[in-house]
Amino acid sequence: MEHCIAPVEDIVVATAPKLRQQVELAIASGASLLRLDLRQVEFVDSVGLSVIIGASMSMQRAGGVLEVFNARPDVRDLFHTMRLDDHFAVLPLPGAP
Amino acid sequence: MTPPFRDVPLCYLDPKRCVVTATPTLVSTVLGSCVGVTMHDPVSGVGGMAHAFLPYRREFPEDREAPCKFVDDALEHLLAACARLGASASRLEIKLFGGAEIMDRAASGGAGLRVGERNVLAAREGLAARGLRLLAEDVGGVRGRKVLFLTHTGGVWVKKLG
Repeated sequence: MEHCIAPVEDIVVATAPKLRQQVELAIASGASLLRLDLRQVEFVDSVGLSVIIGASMSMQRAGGVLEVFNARPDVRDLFHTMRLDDHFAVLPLPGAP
Repeated sequence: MTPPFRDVPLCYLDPKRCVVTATPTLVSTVLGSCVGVTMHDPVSGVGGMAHAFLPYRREFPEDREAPCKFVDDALEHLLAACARLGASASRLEIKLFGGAEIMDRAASGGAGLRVGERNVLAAREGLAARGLRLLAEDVGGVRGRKVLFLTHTGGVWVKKLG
């Protein structure tokens, strides 16, 4: 079962709890594919990153996978630099450089 | 039963401190003239980071404040702790960051204290003496750095400040 979450603001210390709650609900609902649409996200801070990595690892433990898509260049660069794109798919925002 | 959701632990690394762990952990710190040394063993997944403050213990022999205050001590401590958790020195990916000259040069007589430069030198010397090579570095300059290090991937993100 696929579940999609589309944050509407940057994923930072103030907004990460909401994403954490959404991920918890997705995992509890039995999602096997959790898709994270980052089209509207321009910045992810360390707290946001810890939630996203936790989402990936929690999905793996549950037998599922996380996929990030519509990642803007700076966000994609963050995932790549942290070598997270070796652990889950990170797909760019179409048309982005 | 569905396994519970857990954030990856987030650790802010203060100056003079080290962290070494086999548990995936996101380490963050801010470096000025201090240096940050990261180590990661891709096989065991062990990773660690030191945030060292001054270059050499021998210049302050009575100072026993913290095991990672001095760059030379920090390397020893980091390598030993990584080994204890199952990392192999021959597999370690080692990276070096920081060492900026952010002290007020005018206030220190014009030439500056060169703490950052000496910290970088101490790290390079300490690694070379053990036959260890740097995989990457981002050092020097006059700006501080925000650093994120992910222990189980070895990935490091750096942003220059100011």
